[in-house]
Amino acid sequence: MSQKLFSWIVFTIIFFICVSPVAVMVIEAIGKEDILIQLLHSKESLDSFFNSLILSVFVSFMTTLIGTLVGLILGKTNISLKKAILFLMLIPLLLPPYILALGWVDMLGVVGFFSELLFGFLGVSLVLFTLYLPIPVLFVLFYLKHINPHLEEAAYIYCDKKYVLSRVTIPLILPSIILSFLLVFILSFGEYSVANVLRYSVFPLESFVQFSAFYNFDGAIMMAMPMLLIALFVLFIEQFYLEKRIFKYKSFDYIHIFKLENNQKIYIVAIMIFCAFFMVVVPFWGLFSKIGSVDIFLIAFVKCLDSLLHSLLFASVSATILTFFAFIAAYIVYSKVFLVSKLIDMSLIFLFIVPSTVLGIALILFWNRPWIDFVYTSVLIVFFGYFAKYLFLGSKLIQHRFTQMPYSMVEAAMIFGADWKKILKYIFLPASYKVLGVVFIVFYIFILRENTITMLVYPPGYETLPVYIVTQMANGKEEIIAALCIIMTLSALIPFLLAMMLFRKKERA
Amino acid sequence: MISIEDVYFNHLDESKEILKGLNLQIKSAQRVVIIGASGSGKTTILRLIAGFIAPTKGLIKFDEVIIAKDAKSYLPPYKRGISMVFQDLALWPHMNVEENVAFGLKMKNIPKNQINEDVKRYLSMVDLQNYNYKRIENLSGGEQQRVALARALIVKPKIVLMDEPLSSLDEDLNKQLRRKIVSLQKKLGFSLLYVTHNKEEAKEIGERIIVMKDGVIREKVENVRL
Amino acid sequence: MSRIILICLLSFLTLGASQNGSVTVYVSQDQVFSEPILKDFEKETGIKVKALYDSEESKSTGVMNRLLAEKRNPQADIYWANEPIRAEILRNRGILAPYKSPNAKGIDKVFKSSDNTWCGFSARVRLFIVHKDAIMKPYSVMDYANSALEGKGVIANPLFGTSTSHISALFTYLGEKTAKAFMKKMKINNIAISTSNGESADFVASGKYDFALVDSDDAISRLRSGKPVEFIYPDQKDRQMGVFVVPNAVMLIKGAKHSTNAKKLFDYLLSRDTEAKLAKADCAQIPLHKGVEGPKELKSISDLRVMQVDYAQVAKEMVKIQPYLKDWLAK
Repeated sequence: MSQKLFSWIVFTIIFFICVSPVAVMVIEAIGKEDILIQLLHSKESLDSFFNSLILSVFVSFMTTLIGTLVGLILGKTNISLKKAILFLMLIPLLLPPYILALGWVDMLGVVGFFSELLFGFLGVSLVLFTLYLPIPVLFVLFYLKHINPHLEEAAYIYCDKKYVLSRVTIPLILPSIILSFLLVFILSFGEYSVANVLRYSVFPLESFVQFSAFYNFDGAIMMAMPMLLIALFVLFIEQFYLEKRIFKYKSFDYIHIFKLENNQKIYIVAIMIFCAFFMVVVPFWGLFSKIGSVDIFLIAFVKCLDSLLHSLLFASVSATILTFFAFIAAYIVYSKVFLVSKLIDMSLIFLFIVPSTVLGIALILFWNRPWIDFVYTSVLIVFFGYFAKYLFLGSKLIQHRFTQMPYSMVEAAMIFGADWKKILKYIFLPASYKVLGVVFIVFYIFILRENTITMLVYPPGYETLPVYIVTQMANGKEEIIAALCIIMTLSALIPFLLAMMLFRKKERA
Repeated sequence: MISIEDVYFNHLDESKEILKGLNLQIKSAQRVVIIGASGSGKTTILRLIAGFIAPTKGLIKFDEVIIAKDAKSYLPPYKRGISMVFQDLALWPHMNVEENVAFGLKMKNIPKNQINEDVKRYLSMVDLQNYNYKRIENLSGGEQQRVALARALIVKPKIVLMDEPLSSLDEDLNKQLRRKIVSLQKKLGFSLLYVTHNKEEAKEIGERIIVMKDGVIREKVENVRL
Repeated sequence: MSRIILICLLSFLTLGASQNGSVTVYVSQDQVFSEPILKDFEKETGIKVKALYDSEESKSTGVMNRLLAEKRNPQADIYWANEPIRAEILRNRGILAPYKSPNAKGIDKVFKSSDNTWCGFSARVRLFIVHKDAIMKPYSVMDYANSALEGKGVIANPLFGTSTSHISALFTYLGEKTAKAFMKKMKINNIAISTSNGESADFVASGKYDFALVDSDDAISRLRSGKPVEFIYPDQKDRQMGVFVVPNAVMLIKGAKHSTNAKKLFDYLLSRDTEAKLAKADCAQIPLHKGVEGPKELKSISDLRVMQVDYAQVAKEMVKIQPYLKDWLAK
């Protein structure tokens, strides 16, 4: 099989499984514009749309601003405890978003002054901010590693460090700042579980309500259209603006570090630890304080055992298959096969930024047909959801690894007559073992925390832990729910920590 | 003018000494070339003088004033009156030619019309008239080289440090540009500390040539050809 | 590598494959309360129950929508709804199959569909949760419009949940004109709108508002956790309309793949045992069979004046007044 044919087959699979459901949904929506106009005329829809817009602009602005600052401090200064601070900030991203919200509710209660602040714009913003802060931080850290230190030193000859930072360093990482702004924007626009817990009306929730409370499919499809448009807009910016402005990344032997005075270091570390503590540890303390005794924890554990097992099974199996596909997709995008590489790249980004609710509804509409119902009635439908949503992440990470490899390695193999399959097997695969491990962990964690798509499409009897917690929230005992949240947290954190330790051990060896 | 006295250097996390008791004087308006194999410590000398690092032991004086001593640096790079051309040139990709060249003057708060005039003059000095608004990535290797040169010279430095700036160019261009560097140095009268591993370059540029090996000076030669 | 992938894929496929001796049930009753009942059924009959649960206040997954979406190719055998309006909507869309369960005997015909497509069991009632310190107390739903209680009351958003059903029932009972006049007065009377019955109950428990119309289980949970509240059954005097009852409803799906097992589960849910369990559970549901012991804090159905409404009519009304309610909220 030629590489071209193979690439087209892979694209067809991706397109058929994930893109076509969205496309079919759009086609079904054509001619029903009047429903949308009607919906948007209603006050709740319009209000929720503006709520969502203001909320996501605010959250993405704040996370990008503070995240860039934190990224610069962690990446560019000589403060201590960097890894601990980063780890603390990462925890929320590893969990279903609503857990943090529940933690705050347990901490502040449902009545009183602080609780009134919590239930509404401020509370939702705070939780989303905590949740997405690691995104700009990680982006900035990644880009800082790839800045040629000479560029900063060349400026340091003419001006002090503040100017070096503002005139050279920050402009150089600007694409990462814009990228994380867009990413946080699209993620917070599609997120509704936090708003649901904190009783704030947002647009994806409204479209969900259209779907569920009013049994209105056309309404739900039409409500998905504005979200789809926003996703397409972000895709457009990514493809035609950012791609040209991302300077080639290369690794360097050292990073130019701005040395701080000892007392400055202490202040900065203290402030950062205090903030991370406030944002992450306090809500978890809320959960812990609700549980009260080990017995409750054990009761919760027994109750959720089935769903926990489903979660672990789905996450590990799906992550394995996804890692394989991500590797293949990354290879095709990297080898720039005419047209199809671009198509795969764009499809994956598109699927990643389409809100989960839209994707879930599209998958149901498409796959629930008598002659293909082996998909809809089995957990394959859940897998398709994960496949669509997260393949992009892994594929990008692997692509990055490929671009770091000297192309001469491939050429050298070609001289000896290796075809693309052999090159893939003997050159790319061994060179990517480590990144494949990382990608597996990323998939594992993102799938483990997923609840939106899963909740929409899971077959009866196969609920996952995040879904189980959501269904328990209706009149479940607070202490049991808190214990379930802690179990969820541990099941995400333990593999993450183990993987970190494993990588460190390997690196040392 | 610059005096390096009994300088030792090793990186914090490594025990290997890169410089071992180095002594070196550079007089004003003099062209000094340091030649040596990679790993001999020649680039480290430039970074010490520039102020990116401080000597682990020993001292560095500018005009008889101690500016760095025993792991402490008393003067940051931007107050040392130096300029540097890096091996990879380190031109800022997010700025165009004019912005790259004008950067040093902007940081000194020079009036705008003065900056424009200077940029024009220095660009023509390196034969890059009308290149003001070009993007760095669209320039050839030789053109980028000359932008880096203009950027280094426009601030009228007392000393210019050059770290193998011509190593990536072909021989013809290399020859052409090293002549340009010598002529500019003679015209503007700065001191030049030039690092290379190319003997021919060293002979053509250096008034004094210093041969380095394993962190110590093996030989000092007054260039007879000049 | 490819072998691992193959095994993974196969294990995925077999995971969802249907087994003999199973029944698939979609559940809108809170999982906390419904799951133990279904587990007992599994234990007693050996039939594996595959359940799909709704999340909070039907705002999220909407198993109803799955039922509607799956009409061409039904996956569920049984639907356990937490109120009968949903059953009526499904009946109108032709998704239900009739079944006359022997256990339906003894349940008042108000709580059953005339064509045997659904049957009610274990019910909640809509009552007032009132703060202990409230000086003036409401005794009728109409008191929401009583100017003496201006700004003291709160009600859950009438676009969602049992609040919608209740308002729709008022429309069928009072007639459109009187109902709309009441709604208008309620608005003038500064009645607050909360997002859910749970939130309403919390507001009253905290003393922020004096009273709220909520489901009996919301009120009981606050009472049992020691909050300073009491409850009042509205409209209990002669010629008043009586209390609105919201029973659970069970129904058989047309084209169910495991209809024999489905009927067994149907009967099981309507049994006196199930009603007794749901009465003892935290949800404190009131049994519809006579003689089954109910929750101790609540009166039994036979001791209450019950609002006489046709749930089919209420369901129709609910769809009809949707735009009006949206307008009402927006103003």
